[in-house]
Amino acid sequence: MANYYLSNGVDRKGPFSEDQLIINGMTPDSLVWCNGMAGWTRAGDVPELAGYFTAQQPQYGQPQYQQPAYGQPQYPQYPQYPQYAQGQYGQNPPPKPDNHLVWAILTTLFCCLPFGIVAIVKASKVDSLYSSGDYDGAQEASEDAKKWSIWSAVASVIFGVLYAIFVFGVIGANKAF
Amino acid sequence: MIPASLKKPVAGIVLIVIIASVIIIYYYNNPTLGAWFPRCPVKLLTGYSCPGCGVQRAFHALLHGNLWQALAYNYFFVISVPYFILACVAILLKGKFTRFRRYVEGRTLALIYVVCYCVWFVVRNALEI
Repeated sequence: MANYYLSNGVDRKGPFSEDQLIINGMTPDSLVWCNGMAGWTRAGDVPELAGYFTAQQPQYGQPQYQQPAYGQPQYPQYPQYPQYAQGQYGQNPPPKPDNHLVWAILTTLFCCLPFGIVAIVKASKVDSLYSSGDYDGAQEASEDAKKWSIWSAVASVIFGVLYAIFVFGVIGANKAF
Repeated sequence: MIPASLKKPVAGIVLIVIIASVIIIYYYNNPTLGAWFPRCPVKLLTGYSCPGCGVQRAFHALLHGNLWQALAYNYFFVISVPYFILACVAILLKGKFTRFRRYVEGRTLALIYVVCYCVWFVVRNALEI
C-alpha cells in the first residue's frame, strides 16, 4: 500500500494510507507525495485519489490560507526552494528524511562500539543537506544514520550472545570437573 | 503479515513489553553481581572502560532511586541525557519551532557531543572513574 505524505504548504504530515488522507485534512488543493511520484502534486490531480473528491467539491469557501488578510500569506511561500532545488525534483521537494538521531544517541549510550558516533555524525548532516537542496544526499545520510545505529545494536547483541555462550560454557565446564 | 493499520499499535505493544521486562530485570538484579549480564566488549578486550560503561549499573541504581549513585557510574549522563531529551522533543515538535529543531538536529550540537564523547573516553580511563 502506498504511503502518502500530505502538506498544506506549511507543515508536512504522514505517512498515511489513501483512506486516512481525508480525515487528516486533505482537500483537492493539498499537496501530496508518495514514493514513486516525481514531486509534490495537487491531490486533485492524482488519479488514485480522484475518488475521494467526487463527493465533496471545494466550492464552499476558498481555503483560508489563500486570503491575503495579514500581509504576506503563508501559503505562497511554499515553493521557496527553487533557488537551490534542481534536477528531478523541480519545485516540489520530497519530504525531509528522518534523521534517526534518537537511535544514534541511544547506541552511543548502550553499545560500546564507536559505530554510534558515526550514526550521530550522519544524522546531523540530514538537515543541512536537505535545506541546501541536496535531497538525495539527505536521503543517503538518513539511511546511513539508520544503518550505523542498527549495526551498532546488532554487533552488541551478537557480542552479548557470544559472551553468554562463553560464560555458560565455562560454568558448565567447571561443574563437570 | 500484519496489516498496515495494525503495525503501529503492535509495534507500540511490543516496545512496552520490552521496556517493562528490562525495567523488571534491572530492578531485581544487580548487574555487578550477575555473571550473565552482557559485558562491554571494549572493556573485556582492552581493559579500558568505554564511554558507555556503567549504564547497566546506573540503571539499576536509578530504579532504586539512587540518582547520585547512578550518575557516579557514568558522568557522561550529564551530556548524553539532555541531548537525548532534546532530540526526542525535536521529534515531538515536528513542523513547529523549526529553528529550535534545526539547532538540535544540526552539526554544531552533534560535533560538541562527539568531542565530549571522545574526551570522556580518555578522561575516565585516565582518572579511572
